[in-house]
Formats: sequence, C-alpha cells, structure tokens
Amino acid sequence: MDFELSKEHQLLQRAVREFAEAEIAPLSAQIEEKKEIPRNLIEKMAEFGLFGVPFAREYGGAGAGEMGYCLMMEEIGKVSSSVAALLGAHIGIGSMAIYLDGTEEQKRKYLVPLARGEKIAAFALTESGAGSDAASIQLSAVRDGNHYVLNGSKIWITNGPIADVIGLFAVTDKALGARGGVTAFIVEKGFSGFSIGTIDEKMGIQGSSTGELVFEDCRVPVDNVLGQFGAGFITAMKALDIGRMGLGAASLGGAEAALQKSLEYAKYREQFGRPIAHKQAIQFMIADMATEIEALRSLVYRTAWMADTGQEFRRLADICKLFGSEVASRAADRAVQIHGGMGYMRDYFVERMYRDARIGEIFEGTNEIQRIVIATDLFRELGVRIRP
Amino acid sequence: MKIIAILRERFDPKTVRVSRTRGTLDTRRARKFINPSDKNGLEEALRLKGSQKAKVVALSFGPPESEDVLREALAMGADEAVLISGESLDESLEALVLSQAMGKLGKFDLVIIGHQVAGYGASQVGPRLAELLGVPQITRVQEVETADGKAKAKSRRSEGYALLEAPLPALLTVDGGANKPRYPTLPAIISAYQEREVTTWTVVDLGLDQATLSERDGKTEVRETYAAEEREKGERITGDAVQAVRILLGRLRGRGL
Ligand SMILES: Cc1cc2nc3c(=O)[nH]c(=O)nc-3n(C[C@H](O)[C@H](O)[C@H](O)COP(=O)(O)OP(=O)(O)OC[C@H]3O[C@@H](n4cnc5c(N)ncnc54)[C@H](O)[C@@H]3O)c2cc1C
Repeated sequence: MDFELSKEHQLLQRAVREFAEAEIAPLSAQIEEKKEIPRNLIEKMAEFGLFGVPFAREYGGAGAGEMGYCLMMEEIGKVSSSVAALLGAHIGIGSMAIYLDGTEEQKRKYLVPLARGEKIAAFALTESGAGSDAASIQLSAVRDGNHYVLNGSKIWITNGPIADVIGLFAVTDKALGARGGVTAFIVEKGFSGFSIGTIDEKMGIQGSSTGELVFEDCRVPVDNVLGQFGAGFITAMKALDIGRMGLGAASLGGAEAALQKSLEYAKYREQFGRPIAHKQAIQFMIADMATEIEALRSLVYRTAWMADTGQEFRRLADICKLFGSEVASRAADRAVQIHGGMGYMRDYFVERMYRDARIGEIFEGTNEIQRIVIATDLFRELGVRIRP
Repeated sequence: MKIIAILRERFDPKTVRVSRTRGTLDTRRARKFINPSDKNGLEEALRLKGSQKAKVVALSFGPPESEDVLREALAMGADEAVLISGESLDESLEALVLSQAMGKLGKFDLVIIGHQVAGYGASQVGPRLAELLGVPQITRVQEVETADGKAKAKSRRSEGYALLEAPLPALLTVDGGANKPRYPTLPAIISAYQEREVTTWTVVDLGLDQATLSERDGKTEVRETYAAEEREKGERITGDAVQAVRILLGRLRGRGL
C-alpha cells in the first residue's frame, strides 16, 4: 500500500492551493455579498485549467483523473464553497455526463469548450415535484421529425443562470419511468423555447447561481440525445457518483479551513489570562475535528484511487458525500463555538462556513437518501431487496 | 535567442522548524521548492520568451530529486530541462559545474539565476559563474529587456535603482520578488510529468571527476555571517488630505523634527 500522491498530483495540489489563496480567497467575501462569481475570475480559472481537471487532455482537460479532481475540489473548498459548487456542478455532474456517455462528436462539440472553461455546464434533474424521488420527473420530450419537443421545468439548478450547456433529463416514455423511460439531452442556452429564472435568496453559497429552467415547446435536435435513448437515468446516476465524491472532497477542504481558523483563533484569543487553546474544552473540539478530517481524507483519496483504477466505487462515493458533508457541518459548528460571539457575526468567515456547509447535506441527494442507498446496497449483497 | 535559467532546489524556510533546545534545523516535515529568486529568474526568462522568439532551457544541479524543480519549470513554460545529477558542493564548485554544463549546452545569449538562495542568503553562484564564463553580469535585476544585442536591466541598489546595459551574452542575477511568477497550468503540470523529458547528465559527462570535486569541496572559508540589517518599516498614511497631513505633522513632531 502506498499513501504517497504522485509527483504530478503533488504539484497540482500545490499549484491549486497557491491559486486559490492568491486569486479566490481575497474575493470570497465579495462573491457572497454580490451573489456572483466575477467574470474575470472565471476567466483566470479557465486559463489555469480548473474547469477540466479530470478530463483527458485530448478533450481539453488536464488529464489529472479523479484524484486530481478531488485534490482540486479540496483546495477550492477551503476558500469558497460557491466556487466549489460552480466547479462541482460544471465538472462533476454537468460535463461529466457528456464525458461518460457522449458520442465522439458530442465530446468534440461540447466537452472540449467545457473542459477549457470557455463554456459553463449545468446538470438538470430536480423538479418541483421530484426531488429525492428523482425517478418521478415529469418534464417530457416528444419526438417531432429530427427534433424532440420539450415541455416542463426544472428547479434549483446550480449554474443554471450562467450555463451555456445543460445536461437535462426528460421523460420519453412515461410507462417505463426510470427504467428505460428517461432520456438525457444536451441543451444549449440558445435553443428556442428555453428560458431561465434566477433564484437568489439562499441560506448559503450565495455566490453560486441557482436557477429555474423552463421549457415551452423547446426544440432539441435528435443529435443531442446523450447516451442511449431511454438510459438517461443511468447516465444521471453515473455522473452523480463522481459528483458525490467531489462533494466529499470539497467538504474535506471546508472542514480543514474550519479547523485552521479555529486553531488560529484559539491561539490568540485570551480569556482568564491565557489563550483559550489551553482550555481542554477547546482542545477536545479541535482534536475531534482533526480526527474526522483525517478519516475523511483517507476515504476521499481512496475513493478517487478506486475510480481512477477502474474499480467499482459507487458505494464509497455515496459514503464520501454522506460522511463528508456531516464532517464539514460539524467542523463549521465547532468553529463557530470556538469563535464565541465572533463566530456568530455576519460575514465573518466561520459564520459563512456554517451556512455554506449546510447545503452539502441536501443537494446531490439528501443524506437520508444516501443512507437508504448505502444500506440498500449492503443488503443487496445479502440477497435482501429493499424497496423505497 | 537562447536563455538558460538556473534553478536550485531548496527547503522552503517556512516549513523548516528550528529546534530551540538543540539549536538545529528540523527538516523532517519540510517541503522543497524552487529557490524563490530562481523562480523569479525563470519568470523573467519566460517573459522575454513571450515578447520575442526565445528558447528557455531550465538547468539544475543537484540530487536526482531536483528533477521536480525542472518538471515545474517545464510546466511553467520552459522548452527544455537539463539536470546535472550530483552531490551538493560549495558555491565555487557549483559555479564550476554549471559553467561546464553551459559549455555542453552550446551558444547562449542570457544566463539567468536568482540573486540569493533561501536559507543563508548567499549570493555567490551567479557572479562566480559569470567570471568563469567570461561574460558581463548585471546583479539584482528587477526587470530586463533585450534589444540590439544588449540586455537592458533595472538593477536594484540599496537606495533606488540603476539602469544598466550589457552586451550579450550576459549573466543576470534576479532579485527575489522581482515579479510574480506565473502559475503552471494544470494540463501543463500533468504533461510535464507524463510527456516531457528531462535530460540528465552527471559531472563525469561534463568532464569533471566526482572524487576531485569532493576533495576540493568545503574549502571555502567563511569569514563572517551576519544577520541582514533590519530596515524600519515604512508607513503609509491614508485618508483624506487634511486628516493625513495632521497625522503626518503629529508623527514628525513626535520625532522632534
Ligand atoms: C442550492 C441548491 C442547488 C441544487 N443544485 C441542483 C442541480 O444542480 N441539479 C439538480 O438536479 N438538482 C439540484 N438541487 C436539488 C437537490 O438535489 C434537491 O433539493 C434534493 O435532492 C432534495 O430534494 P427536495 O428538495 O425535493 O427534497 P424532498 O425530496 O422533498 O425531501 C424532503 C425531506 O424528506 C426526506 N425524504 C425524502 N424521501 C425520503 C425517503 N424515502 N426516506 C426518508 N426521508 C426521505 C429528505 O431527505 C428531506 O429531508 C439543488 C438544490 C439546492 C438547494
């Protein structure tokens, strides 16, 4: 067993860390305040190569694999959850769907500019009536000559308002449902009959744009069917595996930042004549944070390694998401406590972290759903079929 | 134009711990990096490459692990990388090894090296190398451009700058912090390790003999080491003019001026 990162991954990790600290961290408060990631930061990120980390270089990516993707998400997660959400939706699920199941032509046309960061991707599955029960989506696609005509809407789509390319999941056969009745489509921003509304009051990750996508007789060419007709749900689940692993990695970064801030504060804040670092109550919180962080790090890196070596990693990806988001939430909660009243002050780093961390337990499948999926998978091995 | 950028691998001082009890340096958890002023030198070389047709060769002398600094240089945009693999030597011999390597690399227009090395802050290798190569040198460069067979450089003085010219070929030592080195892009990082080559030579390939070098090593006599004089930190008074003048007057009066 070898726990050393490859040399290229070590350099990638350091480069992303330096970039994140110098280019993103100074803007992270402003990003929340203005509820927007500045265009010129997105351009810098694109030039640096952040938008295509796991994809092969022939498709405009960095060729750094899932390990590179996780290392990147960890570093970004330390400085801005909104930027991590942008990259997670863009790479982990939006572009990933095309990378995994797109035809060579679709990859050339869509993936290359996405990987280079010239275009932004989104992944649209959730509807107002279909959240956890994603198989019950209603948005319909009906064939008309060389097109499909789409009707319906999607909500809470990360990057929706800024996306150029959307991986969209629609019902093509109501009777079959998720088992053969859902098809994935690649939708361009400019397609007629497609409009976007911005949802901009959120508890956290306010710099990440979230949108409602509305389709009224939107015409999508048949060439834009992504993957096999009727197999869209499988495409969605495969992309979400990568997404959830990446979410675990971003959570790892968030938790590490919470620990770092707590250490610094405990070292300087004096009460009863000494820094609070000398109080055992503070030390215990710090030690618990560090313990969970190390467990999460091993989990995330191992999952990435399994993905890169072609092994089955789905259950581990779900565990990354579940454990990661809860470690990050607990770390943020402890960080607020260690900071006392300071930690409760609006726009102070840990207060923001506390709000930002919360979304990790909800999106890309709630943690309740992750627990169900993990348990279902474990029981399946024993021949017990769990029904939702 | 051909530019040789010399890079030295050093411990990042921020990651080295000083053991107070034993008075020694603990490098067990230390991280190595490109000596900062060498990295500024490489950046200067890459900027010249951006403004005219130039080839940048990154050159390093050190243990096999020094290859990493060269991979990073390739990722940043160097065209070629050469490692002279060997045990570390004192500054005068390091300059000798580098000058021999330069002979093997062929004609060059500029050699760029950092002014100081992290750690003790010695600035020996650059000037010694220029002497051995018999080329003019400009030290403590902040900025450089080349035109009409000349290098024109802004060179730092204890107070301000001097604008100096030297005919090519020449050697420049670049000040730490002279510029902001570019980030290697992520695709370039992976490619630097998976697709690019680092040429490796040994001192024997340069017509030198390790035994003789080792014997001559450490003959440099250190007369004195001293801590750099700490300059008083300047202060910028901001705010509206009336307010700022009041503060300034207060400070001046406070000093009895
Ligand atoms: C900021 C943000 C960004 C998002 N980005 C995207 C995106 O980019 N793309 C996209 O497609 N979607 C996105 N979503 C949607 C997100 O994935 C869903 O909100 C999530 O899956 C939960 O669905 P829901 O909100 O409808 O909750 P519901 O499904 O209504 O769940 C409500 C509660 O019931 C629980 N529950 C539901 N079913 C069960 C069950 N069987 N057993 C036990 N408990 C259950 C849930 O865990 C939850 O606690 C985003 C959401 C937010 C808030």
